Amino acid sequence: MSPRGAELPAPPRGASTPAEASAAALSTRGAVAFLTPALLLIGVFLIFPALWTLYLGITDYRLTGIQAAQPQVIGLDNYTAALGDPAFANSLWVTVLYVLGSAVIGQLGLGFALAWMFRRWQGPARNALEVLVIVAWIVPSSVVAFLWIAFLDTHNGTLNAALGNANIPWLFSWPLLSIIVFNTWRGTAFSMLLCGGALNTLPPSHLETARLAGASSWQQLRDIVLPSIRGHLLTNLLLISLWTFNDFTPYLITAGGPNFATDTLPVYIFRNALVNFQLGYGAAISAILLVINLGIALIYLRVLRARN
Amino acid sequence: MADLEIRGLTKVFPGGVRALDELSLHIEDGEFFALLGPSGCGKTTLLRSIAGLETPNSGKILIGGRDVTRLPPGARDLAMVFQDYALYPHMTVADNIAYPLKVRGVGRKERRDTAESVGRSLQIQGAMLDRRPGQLSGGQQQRVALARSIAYRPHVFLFDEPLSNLDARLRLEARTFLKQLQRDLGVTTVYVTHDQAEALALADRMAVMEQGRIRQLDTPSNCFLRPANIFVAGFIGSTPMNLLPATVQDGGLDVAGRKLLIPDAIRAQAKVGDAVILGARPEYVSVSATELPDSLGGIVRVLENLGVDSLVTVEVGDLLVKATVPEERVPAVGDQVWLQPAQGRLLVYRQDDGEQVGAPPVAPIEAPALAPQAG
Repeated sequence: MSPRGAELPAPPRGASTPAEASAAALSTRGAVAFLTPALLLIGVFLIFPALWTLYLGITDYRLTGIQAAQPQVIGLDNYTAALGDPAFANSLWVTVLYVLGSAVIGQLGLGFALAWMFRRWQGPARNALEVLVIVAWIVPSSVVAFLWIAFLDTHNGTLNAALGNANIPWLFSWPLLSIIVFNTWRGTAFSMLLCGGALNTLPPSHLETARLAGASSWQQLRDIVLPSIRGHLLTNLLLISLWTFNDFTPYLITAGGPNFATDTLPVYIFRNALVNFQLGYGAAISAILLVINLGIALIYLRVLRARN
Repeated sequence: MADLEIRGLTKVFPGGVRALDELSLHIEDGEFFALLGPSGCGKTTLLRSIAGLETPNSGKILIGGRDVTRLPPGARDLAMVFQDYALYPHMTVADNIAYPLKVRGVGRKERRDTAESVGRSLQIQGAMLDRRPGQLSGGQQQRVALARSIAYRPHVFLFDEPLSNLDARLRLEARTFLKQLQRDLGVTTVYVTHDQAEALALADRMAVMEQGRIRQLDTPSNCFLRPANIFVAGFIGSTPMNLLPATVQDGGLDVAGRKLLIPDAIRAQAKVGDAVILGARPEYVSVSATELPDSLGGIVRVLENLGVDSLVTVEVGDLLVKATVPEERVPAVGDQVWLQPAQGRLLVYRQDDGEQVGAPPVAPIEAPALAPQAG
């Protein structure tokens, strides 16, 4: 080889050398090779079931009978049936109340309030508080459901005992309120930790400047804290709204009753698809739930973008 | 407008750090007062205590004769500018400037008018008022923070290293601007900095602090020319002061085996055999290529170019002595030279407590207390 390849013609400007071209091909092939397993998993477990659900939603597929063996495509009949079903309207309304009550007001409101109240706590006291709220969040749903049934029981419940043998049938008289309080209790830890983290990002000098100007706690909260952590709050709200919308845990406590008072959409789908065997109908409702979730996400994204 | 008085202020943090130790201080109405010291000396704690952001363990703070020690920050009628400016990113510049007025219930129209008039005096005007702080340069943000503190006409300004986040050139411009502004407004100002040049340049008077105490309370020129002790001597000055161990002899001072004349001012107080520390600023040490009587002979070891002049490090016996020389008389490394402190500029400190010879002895600073003391 001649020194420094002096005899070789210089490659034309802008064109890649064969070595560069093969490196690019190799990197593309490498990227495909690395991505394929993940794409396969996503395809098999996420995309295929979603498309399959959409397909089932336009059939009369059932768990038993002739339609189980030979489901027929029936077009949008499932959707028109759902929109005309008062039970579906009831479920939608119950779900909206459940999300507003337990996610928006309960978890976000209480979570932020706790984070704000305890923002100056440091050391062991703070750790103890965090452990306490996280426990409510990480205990398995079935265990938590049992604990709350025991807590709210009419005759032997802890709550009624604390109220002096009041014998109030909480789950019968106040079913929706009961599961809203339950889900608030269960999910507040997440919002509290997220809000606490958001409050920590606020430079101390911002609030100190406001205090020196004479701002009250409420003014500091309204003018400085909330606008500063708006992005965190909205992201948190999006997450907990979607989680609560799709939450099935209330079924473990009230089974959708009494008289469909806690029949949230996931419970409604479960009841129709797996209890009444109408898989096609359940799939159609699932698709509607998906659209509602997308709608919620779009609204939050719109609000989030509106800040700039 | 108001004067500011600190009486016996003590602040001990949980964990036992004694940030302020029985500190007393009086700042005149309209004075530009600088608090200077290394990090951890308590200067910021003092400023925050005046602001009401820290609660002192004992002592009193009076603003214009009114005891504000137990008042919340908002009731003290003062404004503070922070190192990070603390501008609200979600508000426009005009809203930032007028926020203290909004808190006080001033109407929208009047707030806008005030923001415009105050902004104009600080060259914040036009479209800039409707921008967000994130769209401004560092210098502009700094002026917006100043405007916000001026907007509600407080009795006292508190500055917590407000120029530290600016680059070197801008910092000099902002310094001049700040001094002019304070002159014009005539508002009592407390200015915390760790930059001795800033304190010297800005202040009418300054306090040099160490471990929660004031080591010298004086005008900038006195702090520079006549540091009261070795701590202040070592802290102030952009080229570090020479601090040379010496012994008092009959009719002179012995430095590394060489003899210097004893300054007239302390001849009466110094006893033969006393161990002392000599303080001589490099700017006040002359360098001669020919032998002089009563001087320090040595060999040039290091040359540093400072622009207008050069800093020469000379090995005198086992000591290193620094001196500045003008550009046309710079010696070469390895040259034999003779150093002589300027008349009346040689400072003599006691070796035991570091105070100036002739000054009354002071109580030594104790190690920080481990437990908070009852106040």
